[in-house]
Amino acid sequence: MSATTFLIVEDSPTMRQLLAFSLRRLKDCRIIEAVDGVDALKKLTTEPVDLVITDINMPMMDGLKLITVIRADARTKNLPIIIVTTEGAEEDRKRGLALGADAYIPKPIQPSDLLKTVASLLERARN
Amino acid sequence: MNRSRDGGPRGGERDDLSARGEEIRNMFNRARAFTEELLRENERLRFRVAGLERELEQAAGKGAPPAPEAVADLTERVRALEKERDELLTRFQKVKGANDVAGAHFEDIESQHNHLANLYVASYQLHATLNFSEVLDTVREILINLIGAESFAVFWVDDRTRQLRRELTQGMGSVLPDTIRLARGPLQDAVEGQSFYADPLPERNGIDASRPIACIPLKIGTRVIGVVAIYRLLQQKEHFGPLDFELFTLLAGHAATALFSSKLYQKSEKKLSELQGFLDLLTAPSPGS
Repeated sequence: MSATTFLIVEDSPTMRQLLAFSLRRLKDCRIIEAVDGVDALKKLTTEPVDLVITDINMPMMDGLKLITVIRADARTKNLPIIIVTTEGAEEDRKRGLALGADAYIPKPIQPSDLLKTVASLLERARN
Repeated sequence: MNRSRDGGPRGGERDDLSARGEEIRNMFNRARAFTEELLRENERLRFRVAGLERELEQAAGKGAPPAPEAVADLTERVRALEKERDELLTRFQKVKGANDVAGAHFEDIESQHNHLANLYVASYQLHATLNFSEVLDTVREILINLIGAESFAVFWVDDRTRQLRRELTQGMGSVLPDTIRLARGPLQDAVEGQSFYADPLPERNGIDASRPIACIPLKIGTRVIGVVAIYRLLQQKEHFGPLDFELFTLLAGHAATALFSSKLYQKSEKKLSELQGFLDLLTAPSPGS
């Protein structure tokens, strides 16, 4: 079985490192990092990705716009997406999920919660 | 902590953590399988007892009284089966207890891992640069992403005037002036080396610059060089947790040294460049030569 590839889209280096650190607990995983939506779209065209974890507030292209673009593309429309953000209001969560995100985790995150969500989305994608 | 080139822990440590997790998972699975086996066995014995009781009733219903030996034999078997069932139930309770202990242990390890991950990342990032504004950005990221602060400020202690000079603010609007004259309160206490945490947290009303909900002195040894003041948490964050206090302790020491050394480095770079310019001027050939 090939490694699971995660794309972390986050402008904060600290948060990118924490997410990568948490995901590396999973066996056979590969991590690609992007600093904003534009960077993420570039990487999605060149790398096969199994799951995207994105922040919302980022320069150039924010996470919500990124999700819209990913869902509009036939090659990536079924890609599992998790939003990890400081925006914790219920309306923000609804908006993110309505645009096509599969899960919404407000910061500060518990790495174990993130891993559970990742495992369940990967399982769902495989089935 | 050992680090790989990309800043993560070495493979050995990761493998060790994964192995411990795997070992606990295996223990769970074995305990679950054993419990299921016990339940199946219990079920089988219940059926058997019920069957024997039925047989006994049928024999009694036929009118002919059962032979006393047969009754004694059946009674003995029922007793043996009941004894066996009781033993199985006792073992089941023991296994369940061990399972609960292992579950609690697993949660502890998970929680410790979460704490270590946060602390490792925070300290790594704080010391990843010698640029003062980048260190400030890291402090900002730690406060927002790892602690969940929405409004906060970082102050520098001006030794000469004993005032606090604002170095960084987030989500404060124009509430904070550039400098704050120290008066009695959490900020003054922080300058004297004491941390402050409001407990319980006040309602999310307006921000009062003199009334932070947490104040952390940035210390090098016993000298306080700055103060982190948190005024409001993100709305999804209801209170400070154990990890937050560990992060505050880390900030108190590591952010202080990172900020101080980057400031010194920046000053020395500036001086070096001025000196170099001066030397270049002295050693430059004169226009007439």
